[in-house]
Amino acid sequence: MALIMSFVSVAISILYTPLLLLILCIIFLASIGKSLGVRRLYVNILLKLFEIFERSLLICYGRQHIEVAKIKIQRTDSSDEEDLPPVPDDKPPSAIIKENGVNGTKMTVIERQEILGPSPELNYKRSTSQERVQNGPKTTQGNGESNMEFDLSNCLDLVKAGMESIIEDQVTSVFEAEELRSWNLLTRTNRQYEFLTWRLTIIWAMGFVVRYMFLLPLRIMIFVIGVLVMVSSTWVVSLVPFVRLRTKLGKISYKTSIRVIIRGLSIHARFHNEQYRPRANGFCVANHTSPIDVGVLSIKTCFSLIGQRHNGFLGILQRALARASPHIWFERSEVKDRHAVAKRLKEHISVPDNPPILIFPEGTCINNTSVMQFKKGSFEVGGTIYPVAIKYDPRFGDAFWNSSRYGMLHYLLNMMTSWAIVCDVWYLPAMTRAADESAVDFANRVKAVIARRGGLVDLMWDGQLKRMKPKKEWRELQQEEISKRLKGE
Amino acid sequence: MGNENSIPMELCSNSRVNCIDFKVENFDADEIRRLGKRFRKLDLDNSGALSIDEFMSLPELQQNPLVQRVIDIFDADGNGEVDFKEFIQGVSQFSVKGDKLSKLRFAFRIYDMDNDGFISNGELFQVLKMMVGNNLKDTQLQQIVDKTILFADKDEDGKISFEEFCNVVGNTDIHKKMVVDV
Repeated sequence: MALIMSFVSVAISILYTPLLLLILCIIFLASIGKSLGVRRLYVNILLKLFEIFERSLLICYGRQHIEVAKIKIQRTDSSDEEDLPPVPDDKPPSAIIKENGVNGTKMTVIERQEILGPSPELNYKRSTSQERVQNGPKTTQGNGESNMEFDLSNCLDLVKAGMESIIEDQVTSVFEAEELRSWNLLTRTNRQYEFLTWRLTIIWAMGFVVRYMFLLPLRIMIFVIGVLVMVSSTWVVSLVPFVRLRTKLGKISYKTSIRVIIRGLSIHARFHNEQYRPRANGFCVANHTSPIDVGVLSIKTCFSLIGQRHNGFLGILQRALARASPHIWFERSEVKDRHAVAKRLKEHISVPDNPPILIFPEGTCINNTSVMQFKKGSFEVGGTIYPVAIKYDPRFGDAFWNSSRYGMLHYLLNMMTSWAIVCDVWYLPAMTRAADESAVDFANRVKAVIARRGGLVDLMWDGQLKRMKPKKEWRELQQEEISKRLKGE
Repeated sequence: MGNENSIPMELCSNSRVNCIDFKVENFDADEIRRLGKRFRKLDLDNSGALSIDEFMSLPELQQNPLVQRVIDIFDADGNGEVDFKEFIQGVSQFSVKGDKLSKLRFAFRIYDMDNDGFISNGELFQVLKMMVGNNLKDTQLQQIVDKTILFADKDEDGKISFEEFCNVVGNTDIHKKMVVDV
């Protein structure tokens, strides 16, 4: 025991200076928003490693599984192509789903039928299943129109749709961590491979040591320093008496501290189409996977954040941020009052100097395979909307925050022990509501654009289903649709 | 034709799923494993059987007007719950490897509510009512029912037998319409 202690103390005394220098270096680079390309290199090395793993999996898998493994290899190939922007610009929006005569929140079985691809498409193939939505046959509709009366086979589509949702449904699956088809050497994502062979176990163990013994302490230190920088710098800024100078310094302190915190979470974000980056006041609207989204987007732009007041760790950050720049935090009781919220938003928008407001209209975290219904609230207020699509690369660690399963700190720990959090951010051209467009339609239009760019499935379902029971009206809408078809309308 | 596999043991051990050693024709081991996982996920109270409420916890299913009929057919022993064996057997009728006859039989059972081998006028009415809700008048619905039965009922006994049902539905693409990827 004493030997170990002395060994550790020697190791610490030797490593102390280089480690400190490393941290200082990282923090300095982070705060000025520069990168030496180390993370890019690291991510590429990881990709190679996963590839090697894939191959050895193929070798040591039993004969009966070889086919499965082959499919997996193919899938990695195709996922490499994903690194290019996945959707060509001329492709019609995935929101074609709406074509089948959907109104508002409704999601008819018929659409569902065609969205649902076979389960192997789980990982990266979401966009192809969307293509099928456009090209696929619209069987039921054709049926209803050609013969005006009931046919005994009319029920088959409903039955089939029912069976499909029994086997795999879209709604509950988006609230659970996305399932990876190939293992990324993290136990969390797939336990099935953990003890497959000795060789893999050793690789996994080495990865474990690197992640927990080296990366985790480093990341925690950077993260803590980031939080301290945020709290102290906002405090200093709040003491500055001149308003304009204060706003300016507030922006700098916000960006700097968030960049440091983001390094602590090992985030490697790739930004595309920066010419569309929100610059003026307005709403920045993005799909929501985890609280990290806020940090990722704040690397490049200073935002006003809006949300519920929290206690604990998030509360500390919120109070610190509110000191230096205009953020909108609501008390729990106020959130229900939609008019009060709308009023605060309007007030904020009316000051041209204010930074844009960052909003996640889904209202809940989704596992980054889909986009769910956008709440119309922020689309009613007016002003310019800057859509942003965020797509995380699940191979390096799943960024989805399953809030019903993990607490905030547990989630942060998961993030810090992942390989990295790699994500693509696409800025999209600013959008404004057309004169004759309802807020709901506008919200759907923005959602479709984001889904298409991010390669996500465009769902009509309400994200609140995570906590709520489904409503009865949906079935009635469904019945209405069927009777229309029976009448031959 | 179908490769026979018994339920893998892991399923029996790590869940309270009540699985006796039975043969499943249309699925391979991997598919059974996936279905087992799905079953356990749906089985919210871990009772080893799915109740109607557990099925209805899926929003997509909840909005399907015929879900009650589908669950009824799944529930082969009529105890109001679907156990794993019934679950697998129900799903297997939608397998690509499933034969046309069993698919037709499943479709027939949607209408044959009391499982007496005939679709009566009343049964067809009830199923149609489920499908359209209150959007059609009962008289309109009755007209549709009468017309459908008149068209299908070749032996003029006022109800549709399985054979008569097959004559009407059998020529549609049942192989395409009643196949679900597992």
